Parts: sequence; C-alpha cells; structure tokens
Amino acid sequence: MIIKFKLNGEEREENVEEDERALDFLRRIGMKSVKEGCGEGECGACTIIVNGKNVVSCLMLAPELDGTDVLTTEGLGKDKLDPVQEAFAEIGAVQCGFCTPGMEMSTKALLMKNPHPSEEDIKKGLEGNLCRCTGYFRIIEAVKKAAGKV
Amino acid sequence: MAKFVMPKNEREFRDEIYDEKSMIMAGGTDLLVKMRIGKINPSKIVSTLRVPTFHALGFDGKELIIGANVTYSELLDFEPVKKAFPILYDAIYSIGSPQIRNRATLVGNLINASPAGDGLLALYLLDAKVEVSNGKRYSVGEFVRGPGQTILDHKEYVKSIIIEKEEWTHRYFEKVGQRNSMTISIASIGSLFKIEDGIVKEMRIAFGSVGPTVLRMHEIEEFTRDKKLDEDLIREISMMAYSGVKPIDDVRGSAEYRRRLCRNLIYRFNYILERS
Repeated sequence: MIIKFKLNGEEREENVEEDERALDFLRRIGMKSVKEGCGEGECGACTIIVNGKNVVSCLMLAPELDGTDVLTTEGLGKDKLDPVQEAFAEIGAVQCGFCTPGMEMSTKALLMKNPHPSEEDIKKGLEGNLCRCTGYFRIIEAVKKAAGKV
Repeated sequence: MAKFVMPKNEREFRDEIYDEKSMIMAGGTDLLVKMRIGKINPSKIVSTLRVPTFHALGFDGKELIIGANVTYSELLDFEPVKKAFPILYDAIYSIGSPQIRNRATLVGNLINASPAGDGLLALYLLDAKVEVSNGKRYSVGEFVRGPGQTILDHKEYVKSIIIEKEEWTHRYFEKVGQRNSMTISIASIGSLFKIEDGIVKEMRIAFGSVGPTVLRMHEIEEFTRDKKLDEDLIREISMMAYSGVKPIDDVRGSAEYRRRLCRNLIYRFNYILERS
C-alpha cells in the first residue's frame, strides 16, 4: 500500500507492506540512524518522533505513519548540528554510539515538551532508552546542556 | 502475513472485526511483541487509531470517559486525571517509558487483563465501568474473567472506560519490580482512604501480580471501616494481606516473597498515618 507522510521536513510517498514494522521500513528507505536493539520496545534504540512524540518504531507498523510528521536523527541539524547533537558531542555522551540516535530523539521530544527539565524529569524522560557503555552520567549532563535551546 | 486495516469510523470497524482471526490493535505495544515471538498469529489486524470516537476523552465534573484509543500520555496530560483521579495518574506514571506511554492505551491494558496490569489496578480501585459495544456497562470485576480473559467475544469491543469521581482524603500506590522503568510488577498495591479525625470511614485496597486477576481485598475494606488508623490496625491489615493474597512462583519472584512484599508494603500506611 502507498502511504504519504512527512519525513524530516520533506513530503514523501512510499510503498509499504501492510505488516511491515516502521523500523524496517525507515531503514529500508535509508534512515539508518534508526537502530534495532531488542525489537520489543525495551531499549529505545529505534526511537523516532511521530507528531511531536517519541515512540519506538519496532512497535509500530509502517502504514500507521500515513499522514504523520516523522523525525529521525537524519532530520536533526541538516545544515548545522542540532543543539541536542551539539551537547552530546561536547559533553562526550557517546561511547559505542548505538543508542545515541534513540537517546537524541528522546532528548529532543523531552525538551520540546519541557524546555527546562529537572534531573528527575530527565531520568524519567530517558527511561525508555538503554545505554550499555556510558553509565548515563554524561548523557544526563548533555540533556542539561541542551535544555532551553531546543 | 497479516493484513492491516485502519477503519475510519465505528461502522467500518465493526465490519472489519467480524472475521474470527482478526485482532484489534490500539497502541500495539503488546500485540506486536506477541506476534513477533509467534504467540499469536492473526490473519488481520484492525487498528483503532483512525476511529474518531475512540479518541474521546472528557470529564464533566462527575464522570471521566476514556475512549478505546486514548494513550497513557494523553491521560497524564489531561488535567482532570491529575486533579480528580490522582491514583490513576500515579499508576499510569509508573508504566513503561515515554515511548510506550505515547502509544499504549488504558483500554488495551484492560483487555490484556493481566494481573500485573498497573492501569488495571487503578481501575479496580476506582470501581470503573466498561462500556462494551453490545450497549452494556460492566464493572471491571465482571469484565475481567481471568488472566488474559475477558467477557468479550470476537465481534465485541470496548468503546470506553467510565470512572465516577469520588472524594478520597489519602491514597497510596506502589509497584515493586526489578527496576524503576519498563518493569513488570512483582507485586503492586493501591489504596484509597476516606479518613476523618483519624478514623477510617472508607477504604479500598487492591493488589497486582499476586493472583489470577488484580485482587480487591474486600475483607480488609470491611474490617477497617470506622476503626482508628493506628499502628495496631496497620499491623492487622498487613497480616490479612499476607494471608489473603494468592501469589504463585514465577520468573519474577516466588510466592512467599510476594506474600511478604504485600505484608511489608502495608507498613507504608504509616506515612498516611503521619499525614492524617
């Protein structure tokens, strides 16, 4: 079936399978920032923003994207780095990098809704994203640095 | 391969679910996981997403109405939930993660009928009603028949959940899991109190994950009526909880651990005592 949606600011028309996961579809059309970790909604590596809300694309079907506005990490900072990306790079909130796109999408969604989150708000906002390298400390620092700039 | 349809109104929706092997999907946060591990294999998935009436969310000062596709996030952002139904707010806030709460629905939690359903625990406590497509309203206790079982047949669906507003002076909700986020309760407890001058005028208490369904303990509710809430009463309630819950051993914890957990959680009522 054909779906029409907005991907990173551009109108797109794409052919999708009815039972294709949004995750597989987005990777198929080149959005390789969307990672598959657990495939069951626990790890957040496949987080994307749909209509302003962060969701896990492994638990969403591609046809559900029809008519929506989708943001992936490819859409952050097309010309210059997004404040979220800048903060993650400056603070060094990255080690292996696999969780980073998902972390950035959840950070973006959190800061769009709550520009000045407390440390507790940050932990709650990122509770659906796992990182196995950094121990989270620098990730939380990066979110604080990006606060108020999104 | 499953067919996927997104009907645009309830009439189309009814036509689509007629098929025996069709399954209804709202947030999909449980259904898609179960499909992926091969636990279920529907020939058709019927989405609630584009049916406008399923997005109904309203409060008229007396009744809160929650449509079949209202997500947890929408409930957390809906001011009357926080103000008039704080126990529902607390329970929902503890569920999953932002990504899950942005998709998963309270009606989905109800229909899954898991004894570990945190949203379901709040519905039991609040004496919520379930409006089914056959035109009838059921209490949550009537609606849920057992673990994963409800009274719905395959041609029926839940239109909405209705909760009447009541005044409570104190509340308590806690879930115990292996970690704070994305956790399935090993045991959970919710309680509502009407306390006047230190006397329990009315209380409700429910436990999750310690029986085939969420367990409302009416014997404790009756026992505490018109009694002074003090340390002795709390001790008695805790012993009733210990012997009244019906847990099993499973991967998340043993039955004995769960019984002790329920007993010990009652001691947190001391905080209520301090504040009343």
